[in-house]
Amino acid sequence: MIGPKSMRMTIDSSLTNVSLVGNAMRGILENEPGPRQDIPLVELAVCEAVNNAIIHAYGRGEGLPVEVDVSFAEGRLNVTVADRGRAFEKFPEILPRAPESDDLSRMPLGGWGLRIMAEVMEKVEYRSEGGRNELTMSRPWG
Amino acid sequence: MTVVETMIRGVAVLAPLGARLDAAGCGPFRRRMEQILLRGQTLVVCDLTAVTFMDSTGLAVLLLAVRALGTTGRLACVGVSPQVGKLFEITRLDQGLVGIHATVEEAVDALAGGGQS
Repeated sequence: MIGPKSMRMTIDSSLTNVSLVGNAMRGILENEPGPRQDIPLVELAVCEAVNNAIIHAYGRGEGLPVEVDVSFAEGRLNVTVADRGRAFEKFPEILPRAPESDDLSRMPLGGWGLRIMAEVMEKVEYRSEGGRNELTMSRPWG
Repeated sequence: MTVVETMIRGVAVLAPLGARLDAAGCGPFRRRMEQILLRGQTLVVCDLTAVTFMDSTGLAVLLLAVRALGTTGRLACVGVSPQVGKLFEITRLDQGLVGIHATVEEAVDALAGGGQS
């Protein structure tokens, strides 16, 4: 059986490396059939997940691995961002979305990373097992 | 990242000159924004012409400004790239909170002239 079309990239946990993942994501998606207008948004969602791993899981500590797995299977794009740092204490079961109104008081200053992932991707899941934390996002592609 | 500040008819125009306004490089832009808000500046234009990519860290700087300006001040953006435009769209920042203009002149006219953008 042939497995899904997939690749893994690993970066050192420095915020200056996040653009490497973003640029690679864009390059991959530009060469796979799919909704081209959504490429900048998927690039953004993946960068947000990598930023979270570096800032929250590793507390901005450098020299630690962040793995990004990308695969295409059955018309879907799957991206997993994994770290070995501190896990989310409680990952929200239902992710927050951007507020519907233009009411300023409802525009929060923080938490936009998860909101962006929820707006861009169809499914966002998180699991932590054996010291490895995985945030998996997927959406139709193709 | 260099951030250029220009005053035009009482409007502070902030232009971050890096291509990425993200967690890695947003610090100088945030600090400059905080400085101009602290000194009581109420009309602010962000010239994003050089910016091709913005993440939630860059977005947070704009939201911080919108909050600080409240009902007495106004924030507008210029040179919004396709990626930044999509970020504004999914976070609904484009629905009235921030004026979006094609040129700095237009944005300054909208703010200094007291017009609604």
